[in-house]
Amino acid sequence: MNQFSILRKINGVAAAIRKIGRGISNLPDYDSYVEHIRQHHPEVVPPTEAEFFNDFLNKKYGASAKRCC
Amino acid sequence: METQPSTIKKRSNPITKTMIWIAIALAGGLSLSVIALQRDEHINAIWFVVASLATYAVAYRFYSRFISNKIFGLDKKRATPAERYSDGKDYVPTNKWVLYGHHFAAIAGAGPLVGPTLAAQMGYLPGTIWIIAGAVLAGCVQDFVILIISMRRKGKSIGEIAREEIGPVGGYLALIGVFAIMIILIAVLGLVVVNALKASPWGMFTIAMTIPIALFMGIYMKFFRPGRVGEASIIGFVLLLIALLSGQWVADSATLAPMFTFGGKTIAIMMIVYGFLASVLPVWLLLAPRDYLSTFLKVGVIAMLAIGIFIVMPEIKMPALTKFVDGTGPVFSGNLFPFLFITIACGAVSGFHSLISSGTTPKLIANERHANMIGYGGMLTESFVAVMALVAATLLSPGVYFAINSPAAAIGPEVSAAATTISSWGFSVSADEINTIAQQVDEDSILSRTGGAPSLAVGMAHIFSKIVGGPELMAFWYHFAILFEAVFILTTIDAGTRVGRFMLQDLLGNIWKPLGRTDWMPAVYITSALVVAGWGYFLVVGVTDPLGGINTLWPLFGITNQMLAAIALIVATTVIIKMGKTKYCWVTLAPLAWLMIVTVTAGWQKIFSALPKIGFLKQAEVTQQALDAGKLPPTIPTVEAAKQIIFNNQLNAVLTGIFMLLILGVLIDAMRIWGKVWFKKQELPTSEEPFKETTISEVS
Repeated sequence: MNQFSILRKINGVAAAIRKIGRGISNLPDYDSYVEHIRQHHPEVVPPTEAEFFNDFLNKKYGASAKRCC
Repeated sequence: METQPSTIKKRSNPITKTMIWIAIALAGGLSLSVIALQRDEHINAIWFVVASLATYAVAYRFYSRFISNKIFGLDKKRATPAERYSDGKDYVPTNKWVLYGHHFAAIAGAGPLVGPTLAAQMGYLPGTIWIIAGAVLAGCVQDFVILIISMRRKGKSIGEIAREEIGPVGGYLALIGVFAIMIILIAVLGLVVVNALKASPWGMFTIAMTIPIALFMGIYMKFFRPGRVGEASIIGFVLLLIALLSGQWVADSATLAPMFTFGGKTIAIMMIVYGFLASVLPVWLLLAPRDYLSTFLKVGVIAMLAIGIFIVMPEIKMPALTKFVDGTGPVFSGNLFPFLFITIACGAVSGFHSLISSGTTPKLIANERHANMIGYGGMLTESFVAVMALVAATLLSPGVYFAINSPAAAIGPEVSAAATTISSWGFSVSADEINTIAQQVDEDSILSRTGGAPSLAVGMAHIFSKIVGGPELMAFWYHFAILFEAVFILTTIDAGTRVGRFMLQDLLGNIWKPLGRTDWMPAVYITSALVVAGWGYFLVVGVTDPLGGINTLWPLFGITNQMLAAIALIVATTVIIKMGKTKYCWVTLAPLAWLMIVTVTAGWQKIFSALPKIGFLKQAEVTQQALDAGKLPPTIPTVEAAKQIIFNNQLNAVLTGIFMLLILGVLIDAMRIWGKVWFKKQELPTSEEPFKETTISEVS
């Protein structure tokens, strides 16, 4: 195993941890959203990453937000 | 019943499997009998762990599958909302382990930590049995069934489902119930934090620092690295640790310590201001970053606690049953039945979960067969958290436990007198012992720190310091635990206030349109102020209550939470009956009946009991008599305080009465539907979406 494959492995593990962490916090994935728009609604211009997260946050803590004890 | 070739193939050796399940069941049964029958010696905490985990495993394998197969026929070929309405944003098929983690983080809060700690005053046995049995037969069933019902209806909320399946009256009453429980919940959790932070400069400094840290994280994620939550959370966590460590330095400094030492009322007012700000400021600035920090901290610390209990294997010092099962205990008033079942709500059965199970989770679930693990399994995990909290509370020597958890009205403000009083109850403790613990955790006093958080923190500090740092680090671990509890309680408070504001805007918008507009700042300010005034009132009342506010507020919270669970189970029962599965409706009807008996009995006693410690009206009457006779007890210093107590008790009685009428109203409305099916033999349509075959094979 050379240095690069070790680095690639670490990268892969880091990406997996990141994915799990984001999933647990229920964060949406910008890239897959853009992919979805491109495939299903090609006429729509996708929002920028910052806009996308802003919308998401406003919705998450909006009227339908749920909080437990 | 559909066949499942893949699972059949895996069951190649049914005899081995059966043997394993018999072994698990035996291990659980043995541990339970050790817990129940041990009387003379201290019992090891590991028995609690084995008893609960074995019971959970059996219930998960057999009971949850019974529900999914016999009642709902969960089908891996049936497309879920995440697939039907996939939009890359709200409806996204999600890996089952990740979703399980998200669901657990969303349902678990301070409730399963506080309730068992308070209930420990009756000994470890009643609490343990209720946490395990309640979860398996009621709590998990509620979460799981509501998740399935919502998943079959586009992920609709429990309120919408109630409206569609029962009717507008039931649906509307359910909505009011949700709003009411929110207000009481925020107040009581606020009180827990106030009691943990008052006269504690270390704790106060650390918690205060979380606000600038959150602001920094918010700005970082907004302007520098949009959406980079992981990065910001790691930076935030490091800053949090620095704040925690410098807290000790603040507490030891003669100039800084007084700046962070506050009385209960001041902290309560600060929290009210904070709640208001969190409700009107943009979410990216304060609310969202705090929430991320809290989620990771919560999951991390709970995992640490589980590992800690496994490594340390502490002995339980509390007896199985104390004499306080007769209802005379100092921590909360009332007999084992019904008040133990009110005190431990979260961890056994929690109505609030029905909001989560019909919220985000059903929109993310990738396959129907994942619902068992996420719905039923998620609640099992919370139940295990409650078992661990009970272990942490009962590993303290009972005398110390009562010193921390009894209000000043019961043991007095002075250490040696308190030690004498507690020893006279049969839990021998010396003033030295109490002072030593206060010194170890670097607090001036640990007397009467009611609300459960401080005694849990002492318990956790015991466990953690045995692994890392020894007695030297007790103070660090104590404040670490306080930080952990306070951070996610504050997250409930700020987000809850905001949700309450939206609900109120929705309601008031019907009366005068502009009040419903969320982009019109005056409306935002007015409704936010109304919501914080609502819970702020109960919080201040709790803080100034001479009898210790937890005594009043926690039962009120328990009753509302169980009431919400009853509403969820009414909805679930109605759906099951309408589906033509009446012969299995006992699955939700039995826990519903139990919760109705518990809440109605508890509510009745809270209003009408002839004992002033329990009955609101009696307490008001006794205080009025003392006032008329001019003989107020020393715990009530002024005439105004007495009048306030009278009013508060009357208000609490009225509220409890309203809650009881509310739940009876929903039940009667639902029984109207049950009657149509049972006696008029009508076939009623449900709002379930028709079958559609899935096209996704596996979710990464």
